[in-house]
Amino acid sequence: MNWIFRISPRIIILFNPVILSKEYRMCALQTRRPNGHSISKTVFETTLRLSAFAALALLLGCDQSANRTAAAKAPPVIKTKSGTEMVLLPAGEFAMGSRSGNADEAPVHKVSVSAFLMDRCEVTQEQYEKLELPHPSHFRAPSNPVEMIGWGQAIAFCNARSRAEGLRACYNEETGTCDFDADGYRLPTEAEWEYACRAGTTQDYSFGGDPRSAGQYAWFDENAARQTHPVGQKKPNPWGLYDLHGNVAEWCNDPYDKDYYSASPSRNPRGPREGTRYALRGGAWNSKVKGLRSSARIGETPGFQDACFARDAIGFRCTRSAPDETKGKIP
Amino acid sequence: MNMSPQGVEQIRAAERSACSRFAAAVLTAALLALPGQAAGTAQPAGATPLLLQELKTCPHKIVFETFRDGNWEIYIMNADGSNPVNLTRTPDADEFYPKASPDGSKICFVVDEGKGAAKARNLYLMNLDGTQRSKIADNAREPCWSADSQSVAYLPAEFKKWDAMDYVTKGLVIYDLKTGAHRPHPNPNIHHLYCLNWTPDGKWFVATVHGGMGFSHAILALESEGEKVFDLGLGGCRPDVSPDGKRVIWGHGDFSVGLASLDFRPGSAKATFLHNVVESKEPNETYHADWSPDSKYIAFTRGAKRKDRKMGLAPEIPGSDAPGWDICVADAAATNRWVAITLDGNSNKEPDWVFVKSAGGK
Repeated sequence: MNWIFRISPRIIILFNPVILSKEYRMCALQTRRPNGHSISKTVFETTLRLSAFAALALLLGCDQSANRTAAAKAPPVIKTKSGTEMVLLPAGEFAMGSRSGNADEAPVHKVSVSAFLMDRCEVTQEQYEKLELPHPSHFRAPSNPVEMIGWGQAIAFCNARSRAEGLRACYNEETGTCDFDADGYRLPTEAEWEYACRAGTTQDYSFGGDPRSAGQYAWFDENAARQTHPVGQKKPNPWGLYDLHGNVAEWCNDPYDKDYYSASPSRNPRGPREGTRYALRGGAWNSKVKGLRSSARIGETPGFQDACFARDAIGFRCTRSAPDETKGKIP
Repeated sequence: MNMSPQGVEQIRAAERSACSRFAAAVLTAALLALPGQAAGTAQPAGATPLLLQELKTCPHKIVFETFRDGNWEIYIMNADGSNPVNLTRTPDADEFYPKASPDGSKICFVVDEGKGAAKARNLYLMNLDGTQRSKIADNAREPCWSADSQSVAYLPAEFKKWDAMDYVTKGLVIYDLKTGAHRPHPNPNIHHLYCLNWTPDGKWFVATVHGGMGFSHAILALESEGEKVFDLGLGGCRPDVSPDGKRVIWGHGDFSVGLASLDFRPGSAKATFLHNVVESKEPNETYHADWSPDSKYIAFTRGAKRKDRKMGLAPEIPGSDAPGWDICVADAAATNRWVAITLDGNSNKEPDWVFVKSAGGK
């Protein structure tokens, strides 16, 4: 069923509840030209369309419009050599942290990041098995995220995936040092992770400020039935990335420092040089809804030299620095 | 000055006490200089050096893996650490994870052979003196023996590609020494087991599982001829079932050796935690606990995580070099009564007691 709203004689909004639930098509805007042809485009392209969307949101009592007005249109999705989907995120600037969150999320500070590619979904068990890499996941299913993975195992996967695709491995697996100039896979920095998760939004979650909507976007303690779930089943964030909230908490490249935001550089911050704990983001199947927030941070022992690392709520996704021609300029 | 008889007796008692202390000091110094131990090295803090004297009378021996002269070898030594002998002497191959047969006649062990993509971890047998070495399975690891010393159970590797991690296994196979036949365990879901044990009555396997069979990390009891699996509820890893099958010791966390009673009945298996036999402190971890054939002693490994390497394999993994790690023996009937029996720190790990027949039988 389509709901049609007439904004002006030339513009109507075609609102389809089914389409609304599908990725990238939360709303479709149909412009009718004098010649009678119509063109469907995503809603956020022009100011006019933003206005139309805001009007629609008001009509429907939607509380998410303010959060989404800042969200750019969904960036392009590419397929890697191994067939994994990644989203090409543009360079940009955002306000990192939260005024109302935990102490380690303050102060809110402006951060700019270069363009990068990020896995659309968390790394799955199937991806590990394709590379003949062992994984000790507790909740076994090929399309479930890999878990029980220490930070060192995560970077080893990044390197193995790079080599399998003929890319230059980023990590020294003895020291954990990351070569950000290499074209291979790596873990996102905390700044990259939060930038990707927010996708231009400014409220607590990428879907707005109302935690009651979390069930549509995330597996967490209220709906996960105490286990992980296949990746990509919930709604994506505005940039088309799945499960950034919930399912498994995701390793970042940065060592964790609760005071880092007070001293963080504004351009491509990469965390403190060393630390006994590493940053986890996004919350997991066993998290309370507050733990899913875009700015929520956790410092976790990385499991170096821990053969029995057994935390079944921890996984990761990979990033890659964007190829030069797409990097763009940092504002 | 005249003294009362009581005063003279007090002085004599004091002299006897001083004499005893001196004798104990001399004995301790002599024990610390036992052959087979690095000269000038001392027992670690917390050790009970006098236990070495007791171990000199223990007839059984200990096999272990050690990284010496640039590669891994399997050594055998006396219970007090004296007379270490290299059983493998193969500069081109790495041998480790030795498991002696209950009758003390053979050793089953793993060998990393080949290089690069051809590298593989295979399963071998040899006599106690290192002779008659023969391969019994390709791409297999974590062996254990049946009580009659006629079968070896082992875990096939999960992938063809070599991997050092001990849990990278799939399935369980039983090898019959007489017939040479390999028989798969009836449970098709066995996955990611390591540190396999076979109870003396042959009815159960006990092993750690890491991310497999619906468990995150647990010590399991598995029916040897059925598909039932029970979580023994012991936090930690690397169990070792006692020779009488009634008790289990295991790495109760990184810093202690736990001891629990086992209760196996048809259709159920459980463990009742008793106490820690050894409790260590950061940075020294304790792993690889193993019962002596007479159940009087527990051999274990003790050492710290590597400071010179941030990541990579944990030192407790078989074949992972562990500088500073040594073999210790504890009194199974006491708490924290233990002594180091190697002191050179040459990645001495995975001790396994060897029954010596001349000791008069089990």
